[in-house]
Amino acid sequence: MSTARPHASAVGWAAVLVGSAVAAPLAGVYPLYLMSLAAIAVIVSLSMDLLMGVAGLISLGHAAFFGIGAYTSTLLTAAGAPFVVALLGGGVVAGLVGVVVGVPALRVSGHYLALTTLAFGEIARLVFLHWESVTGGASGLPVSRPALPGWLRPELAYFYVIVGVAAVLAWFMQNVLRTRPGRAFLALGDSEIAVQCSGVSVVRWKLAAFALSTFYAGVAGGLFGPLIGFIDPASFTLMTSLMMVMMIVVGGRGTFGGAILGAIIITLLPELLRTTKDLQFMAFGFILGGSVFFLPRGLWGLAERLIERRRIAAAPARAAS
Amino acid sequence: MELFLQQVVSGMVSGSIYALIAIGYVIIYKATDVVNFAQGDLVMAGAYTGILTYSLLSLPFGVMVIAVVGVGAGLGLGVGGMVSLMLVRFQSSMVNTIIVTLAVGIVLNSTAMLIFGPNPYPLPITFGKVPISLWGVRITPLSLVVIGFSAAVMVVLSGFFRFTRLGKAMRATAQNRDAAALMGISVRKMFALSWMIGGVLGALGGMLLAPLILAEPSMGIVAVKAFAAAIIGGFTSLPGAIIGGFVLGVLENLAGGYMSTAFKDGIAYFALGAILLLKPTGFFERRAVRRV
Repeated sequence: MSTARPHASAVGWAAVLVGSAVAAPLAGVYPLYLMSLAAIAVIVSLSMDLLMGVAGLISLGHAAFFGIGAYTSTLLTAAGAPFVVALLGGGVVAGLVGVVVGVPALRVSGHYLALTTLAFGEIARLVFLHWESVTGGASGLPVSRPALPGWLRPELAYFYVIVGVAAVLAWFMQNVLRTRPGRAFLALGDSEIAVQCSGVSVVRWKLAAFALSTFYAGVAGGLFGPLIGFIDPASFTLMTSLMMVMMIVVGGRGTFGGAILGAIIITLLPELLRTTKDLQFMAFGFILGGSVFFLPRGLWGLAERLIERRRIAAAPARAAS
Repeated sequence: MELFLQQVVSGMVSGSIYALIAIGYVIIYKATDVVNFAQGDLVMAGAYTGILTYSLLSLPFGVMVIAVVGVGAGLGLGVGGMVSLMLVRFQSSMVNTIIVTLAVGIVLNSTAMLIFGPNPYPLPITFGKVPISLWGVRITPLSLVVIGFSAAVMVVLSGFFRFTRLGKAMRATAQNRDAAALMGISVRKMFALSWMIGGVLGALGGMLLAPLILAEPSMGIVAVKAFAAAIIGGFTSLPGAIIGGFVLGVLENLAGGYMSTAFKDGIAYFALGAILLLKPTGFFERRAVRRV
């Protein structure tokens, strides 16, 4: 987390937010769709960053929680619940399931969490696929968009809803990380043994981080359904989970900017790689592996380092004048 | 009763394959503290190597086995080399080792997709079509070969660890790296050897699996079941992993036979969760050791 100049960076991010809100009405249908998708990805990315960047945990089944949020909020909406209730409901159910999945795995080493979440991702996909009376099976469920004021294009109005939710969740996450629980999460990422020796319960705070992270993933899923207008098991596969991991690895672990940059890049990557077709999947593998080797702090870390270097280079000149 | 025995026998067939793959996990983990997330893709690579040599090039069974062993050893060494390079040169965290093995897995998977396409391929090895009847249980020759082959690999492996100098050196390295290094054992070579053996076991598992199910790029998910088998055995015990594999295979088939086939695939995942919840050290591990 960039603690050097919190106010300056807050102003910077507010500018990005306002900029995208102003640019949105000018964007065509497809660019606006991608922007909406990227805003949802930002929530997912923050959720992954809390685990991987901050607490040093890993989930290879986050698509399952994303999916649980999507199905839950769709079913709640169909049952007549207001949009906000459906959205929060999706997040809460995903968070509760996250705790149930996390309890066994978090008691042992981190590898277990990785493979348990991977296995859970498979279970969830099988449930989405086979529990046809509820999930609609392979043919999926139609999702209606919430009723929004009519004086905006519906896509545009919904984009503002997504961006609003993403901004609130981002703000909340930044604040959590400055509080006592947040410091516990950060300490977990540094050294579990030190955390234990300081009398802080490792399991409890790991579980708290996991619950918060899966809640975020669930809310993101609740926003995803109405954007696409339709949900099916094919949207929540292992590949989706791996894309979520890529967001953090490529963007940069443990930095707010890295999470946002990663979300945007991974959302746009399939567009950029469209011409490569069959090689796209392989490119993902190389990008993921290459990032660990050559960008240990992600693209955001690289950018920060370049800026820092330029500042140092400029410093003697300023001192001389 | 006959249905029960029939399911147990079919369970032992898939169980023996889970056991092989599970031993691969355990050997790599014991030596290097790394869980190989590319194991499933090594399984897949073994299956496709079998298809390439046996059905596409129509080479004999023995040549296929040699080719699969070679590919498994090479790829295992490759994955291990990548992980070691990262551990030595760059940030060494658990998350990073997982990501590197995952990334290699994705590349292997997409390579298979590129060469063979997404459609499943058969590996037509049968050893005769007439099932053998044993005490009322019908078993195909292929199933017998699978169980026999796995058992032979396990016997050879345990002989290797027990009686050969190299095997003893590997066990010593797994027990205490520093002490092993002081005794003049090249720890690096032992690491490389563990990755190769782990890779070979995964690839052989895939080769044996392909004739039973069809080979497809996504078949590597079977390695998650093998992981569950290794967990049942405590994750650091070779006999434990073998027993875990058989237990899981049998349980899975009983669930498929008596409940519903929809439960069959889920059993391993639930077993994984249940064991982590109730007895995270597994059933064959004397004590939980953690290197600080």
